[in-house]
Amino acid sequence: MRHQPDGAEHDFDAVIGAARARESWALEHLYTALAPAVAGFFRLQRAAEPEDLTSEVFAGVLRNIPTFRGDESHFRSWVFTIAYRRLADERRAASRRPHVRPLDGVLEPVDAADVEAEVARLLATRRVRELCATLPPAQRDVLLLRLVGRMTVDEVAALMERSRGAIKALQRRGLATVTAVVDARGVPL
Amino acid sequence: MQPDRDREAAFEALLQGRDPGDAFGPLTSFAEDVRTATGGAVPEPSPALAVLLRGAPGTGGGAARPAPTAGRLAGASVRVKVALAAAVAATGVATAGATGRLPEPVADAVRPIVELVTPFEVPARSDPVRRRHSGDRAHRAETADDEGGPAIAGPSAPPPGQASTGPSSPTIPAVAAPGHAATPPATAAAEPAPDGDAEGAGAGSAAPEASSRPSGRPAAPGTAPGRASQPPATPESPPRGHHGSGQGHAPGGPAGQASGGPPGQAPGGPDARTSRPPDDPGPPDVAGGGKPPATEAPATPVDTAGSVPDSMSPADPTAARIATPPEAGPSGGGGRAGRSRLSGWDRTR
Repeated sequence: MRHQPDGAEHDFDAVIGAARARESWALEHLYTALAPAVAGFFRLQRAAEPEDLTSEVFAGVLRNIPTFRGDESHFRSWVFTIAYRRLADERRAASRRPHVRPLDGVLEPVDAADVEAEVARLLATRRVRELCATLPPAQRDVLLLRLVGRMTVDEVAALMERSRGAIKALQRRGLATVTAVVDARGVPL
Repeated sequence: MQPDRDREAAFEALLQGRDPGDAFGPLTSFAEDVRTATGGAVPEPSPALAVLLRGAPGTGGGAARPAPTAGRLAGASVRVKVALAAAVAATGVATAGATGRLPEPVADAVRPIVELVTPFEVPARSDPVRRRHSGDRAHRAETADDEGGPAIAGPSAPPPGQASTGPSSPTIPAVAAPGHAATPPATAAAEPAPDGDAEGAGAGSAAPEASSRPSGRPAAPGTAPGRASQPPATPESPPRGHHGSGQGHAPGGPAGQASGGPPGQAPGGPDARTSRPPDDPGPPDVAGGGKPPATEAPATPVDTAGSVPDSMSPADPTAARIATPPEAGPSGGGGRAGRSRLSGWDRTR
């Protein structure tokens, strides 16, 4: 992890140390580095309010950051662990509320600075959503946690409270399904 | 068809940023789409998160936020926790005592405290029995002139000097007497007792047992016989009248109602104390409860006749109510109830 708040590079230890000291630049750096991935994870999981959930996740992260110990990969896994649990809470709450049909036609926020990239992102999001809709929830969670959160099999197993073998089986079946669907549909250019 | 192992190896390569090869195009395409979808602009932070990002200490909701009540309690000092636990325990005991759910010994210990610091009374366990017997109007009539010595002379009986404070109310003796005079049936029921120690008169609740016994011994053997036949209040007739009226006001006091109930249920007629002449100090060992009934009996008719004013009628409900004798139930709990009710009656007056 590199950051140049004053033109100098900082490694992860310096950033996390400054974040523990409530240095605003370090906190903003951590948020800028991981918030898009967290928001995208929520978006791919069809969460109702991805941005709000992202803010809640990072509010918890920034409050508990003095308790964090580990390197950059661990920090990313820790953030996605919080995000996954927050998503689980959201799903439980949604199951108790009246079902609200997702508004797929609603325009997502677009960065006007790079419209082409934003369009590509929206198209990619749609494809992944359609692909994930063919997967059982557990397989979808495993694949997205591994791809977006960059979590290891053991970390996913601990998070989902399953065995390592179970996670590997879910991943294997999910990959087979994805391959079959993409083969049938064709690889986008 | 790709074997699962090769597909997994290609997936691990994609995770590490390596190209797995053209054979795994669909997987590569999927991974690229995921990376593209999760990139993009940084979402706008919420106001609470914006405050945190500026370096302020956490104030918003989150996982680290403790429950309000539990947090406050956990953060309290040991002294506060002990005080809180003591307050809760005291409240629980007081509530249980006020509702009569405590065992008798515990209730006896708690009763003074509860009645001192709260406006409630701790009911005695024997109250229901007493009230059941007190429903007998004949018994009430019979004991209308009884000043309720038993209740006062029990374990918590005031000294004779205190009992003599009763006469300060000039109307009391006159009120108490008529009730007795107005209840011939009850008196008749008590008369069979040769010794006249029908303590049931004093203790309305003890009536049935007392009336069934020829000797007029205290109703329940183990239930404060000394109280029933207690003389300390007897020496002072006026005081007795005062107490009688006061305790007759007590709800459990049965005898105040001047009415001719069935003689069999009419309690044991006038108490030995009441039947004793006003100037008769009575046997000295009354407090112990061991006084033989025979020594108390003879005075019954004399007292009754002498204290009945003509103006009072047995049908007068006021007189009957006022003349209700004190509770001196067999269980011995009536003394306390009679006293507390007496004080309550005094307050109301």
